[in-house]
Amino acid sequence: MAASKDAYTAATQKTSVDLKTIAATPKIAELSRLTLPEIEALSDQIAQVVPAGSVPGLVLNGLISIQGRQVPAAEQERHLAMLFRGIRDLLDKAIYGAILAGPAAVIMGYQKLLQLAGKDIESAFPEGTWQYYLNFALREDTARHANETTGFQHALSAHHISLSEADTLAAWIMAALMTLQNYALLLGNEWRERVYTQSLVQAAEITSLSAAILSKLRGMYSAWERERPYMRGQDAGKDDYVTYRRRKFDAFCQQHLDPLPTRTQKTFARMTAQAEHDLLPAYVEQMTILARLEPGQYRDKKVLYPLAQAGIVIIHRGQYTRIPVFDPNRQAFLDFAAVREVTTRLLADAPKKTGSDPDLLLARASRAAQAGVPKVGLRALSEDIFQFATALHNSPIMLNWDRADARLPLTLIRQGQRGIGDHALTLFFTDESTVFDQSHIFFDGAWGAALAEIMTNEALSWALYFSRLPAVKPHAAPLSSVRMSASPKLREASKKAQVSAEASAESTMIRLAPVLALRRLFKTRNDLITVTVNDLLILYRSLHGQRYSPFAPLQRQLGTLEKSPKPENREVHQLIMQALEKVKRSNPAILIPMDASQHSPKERLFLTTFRNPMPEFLQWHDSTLAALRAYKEERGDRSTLYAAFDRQQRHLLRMLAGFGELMRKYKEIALLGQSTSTIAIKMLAHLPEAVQRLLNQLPDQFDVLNEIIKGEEVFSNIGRVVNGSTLRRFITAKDDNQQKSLAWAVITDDQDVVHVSLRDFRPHVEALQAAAMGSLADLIAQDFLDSYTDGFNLFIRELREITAASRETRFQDKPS
Amino acid sequence: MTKSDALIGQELGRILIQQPLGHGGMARVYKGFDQNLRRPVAIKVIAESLRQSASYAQRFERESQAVANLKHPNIVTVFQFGSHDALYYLVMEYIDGVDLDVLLRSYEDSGELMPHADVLRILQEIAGALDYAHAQGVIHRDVKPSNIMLERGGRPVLTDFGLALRISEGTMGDTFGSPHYIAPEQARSSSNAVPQSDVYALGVIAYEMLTGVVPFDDPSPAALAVQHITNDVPSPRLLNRSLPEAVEPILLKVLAKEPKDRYRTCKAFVGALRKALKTEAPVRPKAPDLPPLPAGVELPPPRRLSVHTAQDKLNLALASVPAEAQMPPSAARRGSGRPMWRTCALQVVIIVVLTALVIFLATDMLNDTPVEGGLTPVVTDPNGQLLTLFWDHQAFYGANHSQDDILMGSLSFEKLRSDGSRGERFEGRRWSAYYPRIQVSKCVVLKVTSDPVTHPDCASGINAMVTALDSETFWLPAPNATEFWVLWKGQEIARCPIAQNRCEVRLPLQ
Repeated sequence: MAASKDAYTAATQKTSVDLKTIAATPKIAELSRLTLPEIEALSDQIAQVVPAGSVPGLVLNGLISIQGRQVPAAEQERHLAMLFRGIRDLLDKAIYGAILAGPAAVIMGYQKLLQLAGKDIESAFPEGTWQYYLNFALREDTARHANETTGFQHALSAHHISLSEADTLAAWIMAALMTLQNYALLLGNEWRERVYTQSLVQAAEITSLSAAILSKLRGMYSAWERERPYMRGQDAGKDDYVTYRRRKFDAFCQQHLDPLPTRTQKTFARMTAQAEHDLLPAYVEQMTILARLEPGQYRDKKVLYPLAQAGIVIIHRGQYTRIPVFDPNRQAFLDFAAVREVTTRLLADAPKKTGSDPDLLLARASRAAQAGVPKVGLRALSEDIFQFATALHNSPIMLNWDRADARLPLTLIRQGQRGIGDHALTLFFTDESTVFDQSHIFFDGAWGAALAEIMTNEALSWALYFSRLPAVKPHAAPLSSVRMSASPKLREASKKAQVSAEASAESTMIRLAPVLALRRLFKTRNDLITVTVNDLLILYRSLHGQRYSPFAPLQRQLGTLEKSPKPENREVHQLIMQALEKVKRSNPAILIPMDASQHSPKERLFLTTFRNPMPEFLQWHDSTLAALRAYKEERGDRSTLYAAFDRQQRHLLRMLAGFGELMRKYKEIALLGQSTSTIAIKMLAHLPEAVQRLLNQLPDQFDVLNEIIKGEEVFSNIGRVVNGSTLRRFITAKDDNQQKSLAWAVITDDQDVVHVSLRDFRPHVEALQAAAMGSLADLIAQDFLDSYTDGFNLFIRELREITAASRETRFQDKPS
Repeated sequence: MTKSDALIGQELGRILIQQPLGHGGMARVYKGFDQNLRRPVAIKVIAESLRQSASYAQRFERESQAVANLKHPNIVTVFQFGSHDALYYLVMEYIDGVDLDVLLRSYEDSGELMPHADVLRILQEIAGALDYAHAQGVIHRDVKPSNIMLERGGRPVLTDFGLALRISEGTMGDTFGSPHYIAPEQARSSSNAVPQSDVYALGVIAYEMLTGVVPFDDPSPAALAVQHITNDVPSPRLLNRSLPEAVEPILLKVLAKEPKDRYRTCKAFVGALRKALKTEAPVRPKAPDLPPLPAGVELPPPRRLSVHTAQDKLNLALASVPAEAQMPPSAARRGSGRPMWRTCALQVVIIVVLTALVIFLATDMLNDTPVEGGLTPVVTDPNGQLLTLFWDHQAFYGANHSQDDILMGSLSFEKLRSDGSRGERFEGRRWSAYYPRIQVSKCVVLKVTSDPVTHPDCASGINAMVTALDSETFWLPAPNATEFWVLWKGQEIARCPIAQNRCEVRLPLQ
């Protein structure tokens, strides 16, 4: 007993020393809003625990990211083998402990203390770790993603349906209104479809059904995804969309349920009833769109309100017009007739020209600054913001009716007037499409895309109806609109509080069919080579820097900048060169978000951070290709050359197989909620907000930690849309991590065109924009993306050439 | 510099060797010029290592004679066999185009598969060539995409015919050519080759065209040969899910291990494939589906629209005429102060005007109804397929700017002289002899000179290009002609002013 007490004391003291040492470093001191005595006091408090010791997720990833950035080649095989066997305990904890486990251990220890006190980690995350994390780590303007549909405009054009501008706007307002009124039911459908399909599998397992049946049931959700309707069909009758979709799903589910034994059906019914009772209401509340975001010092706070208090805002020529969805005089929700009258009036009364737009500055000001933090307290600074925000209160959906240019990248389209960041969704319109700009706090990429599809079809339905109705008179009373005003002081303060500047690029040059053909070829060669399309995209991203070189026109522009007489231009040139050098050298840590909703709808997303452990893959690839070409071109005895090529090819394909397996393991671990990123989020449980913020920003300051937890780039691929979908482009959100430099987004439309977008947040972007050379920043981003897509296509062609057998074979000719 | 390279600029008989075109295992191929007949030719020069073999030379000559006796539009024509300074060479027809292997690789690079119409067309013509050769007692033995040339006008041509047969005769004992297309019995021994070995090879090509991959693949030729002999053919529909179900058994049959289990002839195979591929519904881009109206809404009752028929127009016209003008002259009031003759004259004028109005309106009515005999209706369809015509002094082009293929056999063009007579005429059938339709975004060309022509508006490709006879130059300006007709099944559907050099025509939907 005495010995264990001594050990406890020693461990406690060690923990305290460790924590204070870290906390006292200048970087942390600078970062923290706490004073040093406060930190020391907190350190003592935390130190009253025994270090946890094992940190599975962090250390697992630490395999790849120890000091020096490279695991010795001889170690890689061993580490990878351990990964594949799923071994979490490592032989050499000392190395990892010194660099990673120490700080993590004390935090885990604190969690242990809380457990002793009756709390547990999971209770800190009633809405899942991701939802918890969003409110303080994905609340800035750059943490919004956007997707685009073309179905509304294309259908009207293809069917030669002409509609007045007022009715077009009215159709979209009706879609927004229907969305708000049915949002809970829309979420309910999403929840049911995931939970029911999973419950059926669980019920089948519990009741010991055969492997064949289980296998079929496991594919049920994927099968439903292909059938799921995003609009009312011709057989909808009087059902609205949510009812129609529910009916369709119930029929689909019943089809799978009917052949199963009664005991399985009963188990399923019991499980789903329980889940609906226990979990569905919390999920709907978690995901509701009827919430405004109030900026706080460390996080945004969601404030819920009832539907009857909601409004829809139309932004047109600098003015914001709020339309309440509920008319208290009539005690009824807005109907389509009233909406048509309102839009007719609104457009008739629209001002001739737009005014100044301080709200644009505010939209990109940091949320902490908006909250009224001393020194940069924007809301404290001005009554204007308060009044403006109040006038637009409780408006989850805004429609910006100023027509944007369809040729612009999504990042520019979405930077039109869009409120000040308190609401969930803004729609922008071009002549060819509608862009849905979505807060990550409310929407993940996949749900956001689905809602965009649903709203587009709903708007189209209303447009058809309005096209058959006679014109209406404008709304009798003038509409109340606001325009934000701001003092010069407020403008200046807002400018200083701007979040990361960005440049952007888009491309559709990736050829999907050769990638699919290559995967087919792999199947005919060896079924152990299982790499997905996304695996290959990520693999090539990790290798791309080694081949990247800016194209000639860009190099000429950079040359001009280098020779500029202005010192600030030369400084910018240096920043650019640093960025380009970094690209060539780096094997970036990539954050990959994964859909967790099937695992548990409330979890929404799991993250994993990946860094290619085989950066030498490209060298092997190139040398194998060279060996193949030497073999093909040789005229004489080719047996030696063939043997050399054969050896290299087999090794390369093994590496590829290993890569695919590695990615699969990463995904498996991530979907169990055990990735380093998710574990890191869990470590914040129950800590005071100030400490949470401190810890959240730690990765920004420590490269290794950042690589493991947050990554330098995010790569989000939401996959191929279903046939008939009109989703086209997509840009992903960037979290508030300062080290996040690039955000890649991929979506494949129903014509199998792969749309890739790139948001560039590297330091040179801000400098170039400040020097009024924003177009050069865009060019640099576009060049990088174009070289990636071209390089990827070439990489696939080369892989195919390597994988396929040579077409001409000659043997040594023998004399007769 | 090897001796082969030194051939550039040399003369072999009357043939001047101009540039290398490629090389295979046994020979190098050059482009040359026949100085007597003033035409380009291809020359195949046998590999140096084989030149010393006398028996090889004899077999080469015998085989060349056998191939030279094959006369088929889809088999390369052999003009001459010769030897010069220990060089054995074969002079053949020069095919201006690319080989099928290059075309398949370009589809692969663009991530696409060849359209089924093109697949069938190429297979059909090569099948005809192979069956013909088999009937003449010749087995190709090296049928593969790189041995199928595609001429610019679209004609596929089988080349390297019979050379492989020659090499397989006994003494060499080695396998040859690409093992990807080799039939199992041929993989065991070249002497086992039968006509159905060529059927098998054609089947492998079809498989590759329809799925993008060959059925068996391995870097080791020996292992690959074993696969042909022992392995089951991978399901083509697993590789290309859009293939109709009916295609799979056909491909599996043509790739049967035993020759007796395959199609007896190449044409039988392609005929079955054509039938199976035709079962798929043609993919026509169509307007997107529209959702139903929103739930719970009702449309207002339809307004009654006034329908103006020609009779209505006539009634309206009559109603607007003053009442006295409608009365017959005999009913004109006396004593009105107006001379009677003026009244009568006015009434005559009114009657004439009304009659003209009636005739006009009747014609208007008649134009809305079909006519039997007498008038020839102009067949126009505003929603029909758009064919854009453009021309210059060198050539006439037709570009398909619609959303579906256009059959050319029903089209013809005819110059219209100012005296109403008809001049030069061209029948679209001439194009369809090369290719039956104009594919979407592609062109057909009728040129004046024998040289190939290009046009930027035909960058997507040309389905057929023919040289016009003098009697066919309908689009060229002439003093007594300013227009030409576009006819569809003999009916005029458009007139195009020659001076405008461009004209758009809507064809009836096919």
